[in-house]
Amino acid sequence: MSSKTSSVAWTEFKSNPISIIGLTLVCFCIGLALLADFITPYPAHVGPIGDFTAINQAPSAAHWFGTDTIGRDLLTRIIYGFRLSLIMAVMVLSISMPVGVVLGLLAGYLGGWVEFVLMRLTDIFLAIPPLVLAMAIMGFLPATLTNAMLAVTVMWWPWYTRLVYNVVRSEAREGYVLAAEVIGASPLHTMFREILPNCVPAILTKLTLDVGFVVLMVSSLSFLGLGVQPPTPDLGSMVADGAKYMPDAWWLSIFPALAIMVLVLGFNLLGDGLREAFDAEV
Amino acid sequence: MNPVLRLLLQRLAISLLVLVGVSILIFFVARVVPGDPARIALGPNASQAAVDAMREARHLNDPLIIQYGWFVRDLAQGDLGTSLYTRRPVTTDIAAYLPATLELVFVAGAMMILLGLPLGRLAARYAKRGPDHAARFAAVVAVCTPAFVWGVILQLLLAYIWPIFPLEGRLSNGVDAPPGITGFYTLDSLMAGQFATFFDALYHLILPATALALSGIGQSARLTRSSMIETYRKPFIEMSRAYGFREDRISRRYAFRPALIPTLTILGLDFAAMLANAFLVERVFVWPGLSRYGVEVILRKDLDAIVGVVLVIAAMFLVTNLIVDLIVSIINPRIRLAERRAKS
Amino acid sequence: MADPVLKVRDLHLAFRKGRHTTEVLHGVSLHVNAGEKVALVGESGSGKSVTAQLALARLQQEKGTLVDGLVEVVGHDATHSPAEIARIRGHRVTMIFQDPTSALNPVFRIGEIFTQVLRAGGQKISEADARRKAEQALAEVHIPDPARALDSYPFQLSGGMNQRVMIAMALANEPELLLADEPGTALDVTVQAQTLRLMDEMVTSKGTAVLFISHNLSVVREFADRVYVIYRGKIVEHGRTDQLFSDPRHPYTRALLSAAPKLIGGGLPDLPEHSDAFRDPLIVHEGCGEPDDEVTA
Repeated sequence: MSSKTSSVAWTEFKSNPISIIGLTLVCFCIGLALLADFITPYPAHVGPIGDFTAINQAPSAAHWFGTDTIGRDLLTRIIYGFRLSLIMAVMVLSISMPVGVVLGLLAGYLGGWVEFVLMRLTDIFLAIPPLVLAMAIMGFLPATLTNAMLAVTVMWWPWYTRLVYNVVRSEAREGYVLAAEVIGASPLHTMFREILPNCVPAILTKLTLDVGFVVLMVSSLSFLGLGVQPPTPDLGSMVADGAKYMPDAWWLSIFPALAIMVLVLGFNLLGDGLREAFDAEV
Repeated sequence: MNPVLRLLLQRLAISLLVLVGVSILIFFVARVVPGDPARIALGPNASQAAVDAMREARHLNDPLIIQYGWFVRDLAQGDLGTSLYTRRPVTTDIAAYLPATLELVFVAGAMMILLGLPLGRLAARYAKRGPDHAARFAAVVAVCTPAFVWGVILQLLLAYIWPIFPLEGRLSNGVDAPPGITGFYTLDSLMAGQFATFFDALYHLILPATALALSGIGQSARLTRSSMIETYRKPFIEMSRAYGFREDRISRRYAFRPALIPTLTILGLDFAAMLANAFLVERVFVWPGLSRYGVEVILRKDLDAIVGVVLVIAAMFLVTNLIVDLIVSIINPRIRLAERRAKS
Repeated sequence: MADPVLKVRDLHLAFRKGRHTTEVLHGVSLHVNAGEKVALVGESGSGKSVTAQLALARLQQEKGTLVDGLVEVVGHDATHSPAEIARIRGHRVTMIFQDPTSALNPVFRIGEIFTQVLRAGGQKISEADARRKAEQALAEVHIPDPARALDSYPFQLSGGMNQRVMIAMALANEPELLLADEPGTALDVTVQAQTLRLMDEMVTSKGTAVLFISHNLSVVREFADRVYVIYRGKIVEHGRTDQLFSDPRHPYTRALLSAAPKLIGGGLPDLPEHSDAFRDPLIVHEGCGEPDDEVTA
């Protein structure tokens, strides 16, 4: 993509209020996550020990979002939950995206049996609803944070393979690819230097949307008790635990639930903005 | 051969291949994980003799490929193994839990279609005006919110604070389940003429189905809106307007039907995603469906049962897509009448 | 003489986007009398198609559209009460499009679209009567098997067939005015010529007035009684077809004539490069004034 088109995309991005709201939300969440150690009111409450003199308190000036059953400040735990969710999303995507992209490039560019095997494999993965596949993988592994990330990573790459494959299939007929081949560029050069840069807008857009969806998936797993285990502050398990104390301690599940909503919404709006700016098919 | 039939057979063949692929995938994942499945299943306190006996009985000492052969042979006979947790055949368990899940998913799917499509249609008609902006924002919020969050919020608002709807379960205390024919309480009670039970079952369905449907409603409204807006730019809509077709009729018929074709395929995927999200919603509303069973067997490392649940869900996912293909080929005359389709 | 079926007086049109306003029409005046065939010729972007859209009241309500002047269609004021035009669209004034195949809804049978056309303006007609009337209309435009055509989807018929269907639909309600916006430019040259001849024959026998919009002067020559030449939102020359072709006076018309390909259709002719002379004032040939003007040149 030339610098000119990216500046056009940027102008379009800036003029779209949706993108700006999304960007603001995303920056807000990332900022909270990065500065968690400094801005949370009770950083010690991230572990298993709370303040036993202040259990199950409703939201107040001292505890904006209330406290949980062992007196831990909910706001603190939610901010650390943001951090955990974002770290997990980054880990999952930093493995599944490159793997998926490379496989998509290979399938689209090489064709033949490579294409056949990879794309059928992709079909098989995509034929199982993601959550169910991740749950099944968790069924064979102990429920830990690392395994939850592993399970989500294993089911996430096919989406990138299919995305890149589709872009490559449409790009491969473009003149510049033929030109590169005619002047004798190696397949590797053509794939990574000629074709890949043209997939970047689509990948970037999907990546942004996916941060939200990975957060959604991981929190769903831990909501079912198949992911992160206590006392690690995870938004999904906080909702599940809090639901036991409804309606009296409603804040225990409602605030973490809203936190997930805000986080996913931010990345979704940002991704939508990027999609419109790049005019990318995702 | 009839083109629709031909297309369906093609898709059916592909689906079966994919299902075989899924079975291989899930089978091997279940076998390559670290640890001895028999030991995991029996727990650390079981005697080595018991573990060995189980390994023998389950053919766990054979090479993987042979094990898969056994698995396929059993599968062909409708045998998915025995659950270690319930000590019953996995197929029996699934047959007992699945109807509750399906009833929930069908009601949610109906809500997605009946509310999402008209909402998208209206948003497109008033594109870039007030109602459209509101609908778009609501749709994005709906899509971004996990089903269990909706469940918790709806439960707090409409079952605790304003107790309009029941908190959980499929029926009120003291109401007996209708005679089981389909396993759908609503249908069974209607067939048995037990109207009080029918209304009770329906009443219990509303909150969980709404929680499950909300993101689908948002998604389908979004898709319908963008597809309608694209269709509105087509020359044939210009023609309809130039010939004085009523705007209302264009919106409901002449633009809607062409716009529906690209939308439906994706809606099929959303519908299938509900099968997975049902796990979350069932948990919130203590719904006695496949989720309770699924989570239980996963936590207990009940291998056969896990494989069975995944296979059944994958099969339903593929069947859903087949049905969607069928509907699309019926409303799209290009497929219905084409002798051959250029793109598969 | 009766009032013209289409009367456009001093029509201005501008589009506003943000703080930016683009003026597209700068005071266009033209008229079409009952039963008369009039051509409006200009290159793309000259404002000829928007004139037709204004006559159908299809632009007035769009956001950012600024209209000033008079457009009167069969006695209804299209500038001030577009809703009245909406009621007469499809039966008293109709339209033929560039690409007939894309102008017909692909997921409905021709028969169903035709029935809807016959019901334009709230006319009550039974399914069976509509069918009979549609078959008759298709037979009139020489479609070999009307019943089969009605049961077909547009993509099953050739472009030429669809153009005939379109003509039949346009004339089925016996409109007073037909707007033909570059009819058939999407078709190949011989088919286009055939359908133009068919349209000519049909409107002549039914006495329908036509505003024929085209970028191609030579197409217009065989068809029109009178010609308006439009350049950048202004009419530059107006005369009877014979006058205009034997004695083109405006520099733009002359440039257009020399640039036009001799064959009918053939895509876009090489349009003349801009020249200052094209901005010369309007030239009106003898006896061709606008109806409200007391004195004609």
